[in-house]
Amino acid sequence: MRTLRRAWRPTSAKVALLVLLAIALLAAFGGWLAPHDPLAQNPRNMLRGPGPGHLLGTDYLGRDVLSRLLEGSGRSVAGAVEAVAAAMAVGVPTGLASLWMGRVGEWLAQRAVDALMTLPFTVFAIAVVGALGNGMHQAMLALGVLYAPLFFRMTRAAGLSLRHAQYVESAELFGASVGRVLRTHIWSKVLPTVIVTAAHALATCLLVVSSLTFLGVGVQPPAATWGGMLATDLGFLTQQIWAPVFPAALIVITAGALNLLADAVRDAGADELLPGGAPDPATGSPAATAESPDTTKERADAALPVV
Amino acid sequence: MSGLLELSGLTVAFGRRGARPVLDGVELSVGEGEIVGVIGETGSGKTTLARTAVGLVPPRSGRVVFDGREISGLRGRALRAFRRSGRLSYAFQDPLRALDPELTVRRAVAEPLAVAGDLGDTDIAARVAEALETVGLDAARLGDRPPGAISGGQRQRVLLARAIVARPRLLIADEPVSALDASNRNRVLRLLDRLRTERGMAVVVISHDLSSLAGIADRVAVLYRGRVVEQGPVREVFGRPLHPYTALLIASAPSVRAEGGPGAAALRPAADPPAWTAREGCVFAHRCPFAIDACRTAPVPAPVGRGRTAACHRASEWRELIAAPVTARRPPGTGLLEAAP
Repeated sequence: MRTLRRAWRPTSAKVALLVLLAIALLAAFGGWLAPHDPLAQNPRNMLRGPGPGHLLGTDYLGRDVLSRLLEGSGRSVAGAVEAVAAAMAVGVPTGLASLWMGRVGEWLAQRAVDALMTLPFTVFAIAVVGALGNGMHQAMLALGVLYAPLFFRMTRAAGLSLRHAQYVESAELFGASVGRVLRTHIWSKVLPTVIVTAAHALATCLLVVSSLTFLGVGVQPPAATWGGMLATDLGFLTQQIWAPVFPAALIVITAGALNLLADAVRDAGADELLPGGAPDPATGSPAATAESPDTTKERADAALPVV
Repeated sequence: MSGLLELSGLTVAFGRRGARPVLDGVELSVGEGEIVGVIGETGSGKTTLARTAVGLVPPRSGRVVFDGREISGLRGRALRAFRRSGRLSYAFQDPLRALDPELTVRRAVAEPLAVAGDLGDTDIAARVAEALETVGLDAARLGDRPPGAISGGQRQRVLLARAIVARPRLLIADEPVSALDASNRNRVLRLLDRLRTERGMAVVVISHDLSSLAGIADRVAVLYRGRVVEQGPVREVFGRPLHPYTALLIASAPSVRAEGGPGAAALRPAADPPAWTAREGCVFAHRCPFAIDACRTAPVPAPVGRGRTAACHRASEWRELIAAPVTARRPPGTGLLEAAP
């Protein structure tokens, strides 16, 4: 928790938070702020540039771009948040549980995760949508399942060194239950890692939503999302070279703010490690070294981007 | 003899089968209110002995009996219930790693009581204050600091406070003074002695430093490469060691060396020990100047006199071998160690 409190200090973190707050407001009240009906088509007013009537111009059906961006922000952000929440709900508890599974359980969990990671993303998303029906929630659920291994591995890697920390051993010597050890000794130290991972995953999910929409999976036209608008605008590049800039800018700003925030959390966590705070399992007792499995593979895997 | 803690035939090995065991057939008994020192060099298995005794390391064979009950076989609920009773406690060697960097001193010391869950918050607070006071720490000043914000000596005492807060009957303290300066060291050692006299608490002190044990321990066990080579009352063991390794240890520690004991030079091993010493026989044979063919079979700890054991085929003879020629053989360079008045 100290890590999180320290993370608020740098200016970059404050700026990032302000930006995210603005995005959150946009997501909540965007549709209400929209000056025009985001779905109203106007064939006589197609592919117009920014002007007094339509501040950001109109798209290929004459719909107001600003209104569509505002109205679509809630859907885009909610989609990304839903996917990441699903991924965390599946990945984090299993990652923590894997620390106590024993050799066989750990092996099985790891292989299951390996198998999940080999699934080609697009094919899996289409398969899920085919099985469960096409819709935003189904697509986001599929995305969440595919992101779960990332959270599993990150949580597990962060917790693994703590599992054999002497203060955890000593809590076990006092007779502490697994739940208690997790609450008092492990969760607060794993949390910054989970937050950093979540921030990165959210940023990627915002972009992935667009690639799904591009395939016609997930959000269905004419409903607007940032990713979907980016995808359609790319089809009219010759007529409107500037058009993709608006949705892209929103995605970039949101992703950038999330990354800034994640960096601040990570840096605060790195400070924590400096003044002799963190345990080092490698120099532990002979029992700890003999029993703790090699984590290098997991760390390397965790560092890989999923998409 | 039946004591509070009985270790019998304790063998521990890590890694592959066939690897040299870290502990090999260790026998150790600790009586009520007794302070037992365990000495040995780095890697001799002292910490593994302690960790096995408290149940952090499963023994390959042998038994750990505490207060008449075998605890090495406890699992699940029974093990947790025993641990929550707080009767056997273990103070880790390195307080920086054994204390959660995020918990304040007060919360860290309260942890055993909070886990046990049979005391209310006010009772716990009172017990924590009492434990901190016992170890000589100002609870009001240090209680709310994390372990990173107090000194090394204070941290060591916080660890001890946590180990005694549940009022154990036996405390196993792993190198409680090795990281401390002289004044803090004496303070902690006096504290252990006081806990024994005031509370009747038995203590096992693990140390590589003979002088810190000499003052407080009743008995000592000398570990060498996973075996107890000698065991007995501290005065007798330090005054007249029965095992050449103990003699070497004592000769290397001027502060505890008894007058007239053999010097380090006299215990220097032969230039090239026989090849078999690396693989078999007595664990000390490769460094022992008195090794003979009989030492190819590993000696078992044999009782010598009252309450003493020594694992040496030549326990009764080796002393005579150096008694006469030692002065003549002494090289001039070892004068420092030999400078007994």
